[in-house]
Amino acid sequence: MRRWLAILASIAIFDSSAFAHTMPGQAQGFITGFLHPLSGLDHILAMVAVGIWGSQLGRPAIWVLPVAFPLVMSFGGVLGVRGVPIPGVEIGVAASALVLGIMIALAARPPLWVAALIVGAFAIFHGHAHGTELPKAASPLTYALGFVLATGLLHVCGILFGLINFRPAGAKALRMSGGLIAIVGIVLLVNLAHS
Amino acid sequence: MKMNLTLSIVCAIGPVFLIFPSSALAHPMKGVGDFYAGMLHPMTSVECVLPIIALSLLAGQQNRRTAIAILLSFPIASALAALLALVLPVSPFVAVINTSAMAVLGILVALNRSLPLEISVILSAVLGLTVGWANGGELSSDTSAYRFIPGLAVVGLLLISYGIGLVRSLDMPWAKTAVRVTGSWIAAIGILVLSLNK
Repeated sequence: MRRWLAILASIAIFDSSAFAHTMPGQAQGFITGFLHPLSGLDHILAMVAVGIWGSQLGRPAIWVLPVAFPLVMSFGGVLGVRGVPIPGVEIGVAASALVLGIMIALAARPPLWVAALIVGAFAIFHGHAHGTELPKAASPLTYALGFVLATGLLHVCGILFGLINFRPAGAKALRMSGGLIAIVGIVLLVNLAHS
Repeated sequence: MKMNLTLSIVCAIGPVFLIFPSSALAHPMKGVGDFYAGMLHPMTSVECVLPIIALSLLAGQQNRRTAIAILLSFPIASALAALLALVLPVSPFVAVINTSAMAVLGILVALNRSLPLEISVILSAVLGLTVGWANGGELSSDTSAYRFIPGLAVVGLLLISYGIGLVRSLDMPWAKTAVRVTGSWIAAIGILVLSLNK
């Protein structure tokens, strides 16, 4: 009963705030931020791949990676905001799809710290790419809210998709999806090399 | 048990307050409008809502005594600071502290650790003071402070109690992880926005 009351209360809270102010600047910032991770195939594939790999690895990686990723990504974002250059950010973002795709395809199970290090390194590249856009946003706060939310939801998509791993056919399908992600990663890298 | 009863009452009364503000704004009633304005004001600022959500989730992760201390200290501090704002202009540091609170409280939620009572009360009171000061400082001359400020305190009480009720009612391990992930998201937003300050 209390759970339902809490859910009802949450809905009521957001309903009220939606009617209270229209907030064009804030809304624009949120939409721009939310769409930023969704505007590039490299970002989408890498974020979904983080979730899928977390599911494949099981506990504790399935919760360590989604909790740690936004924090490490924010560190990369700070570097982007501050204008600290990271060489080859775009290559790093495209390479993240390739490497994570290979990890899923191989169903690789490295120690947790190695997995966290791989994902963390790519989180810095992704955070830097988003962070450079932050100072230009109509509302930096809602831009950050939007892109963190979109990134997190992509992880959730990956984790939910990764839940098929517990069935033998599902585990195979998951590895195949990793192969596809890796192939797209190669295409993205080749495109970058030609541009 | 006593805590559960208190939460049940607050959870039952809360939605009634929160469902009607829109209609209250549509038909302004003298006096009543200012109370609801106090309730709505912090809710329309992302800078205030996110650290309050983080504090409410943190309170839910703590033991009963600490949770009650946070539940009480936050609205009291926010009401006192809103009163203070009537005589003292709002400092620009308030926004920086609120953003820092997002980072600190978000990281604490992500870590999911028990905090000493004193630390919890200090964190809750500091956030209450800055939220109260920021909101109280925006009171217009035609708004009744004596109705606006109770509204501000009540919404703080409700939000913290919802957080406690929600986190304590979660049984599934994935749901507890979702709370930690929410903390991590709030911390990431706070760290990023903080980095914009020169």
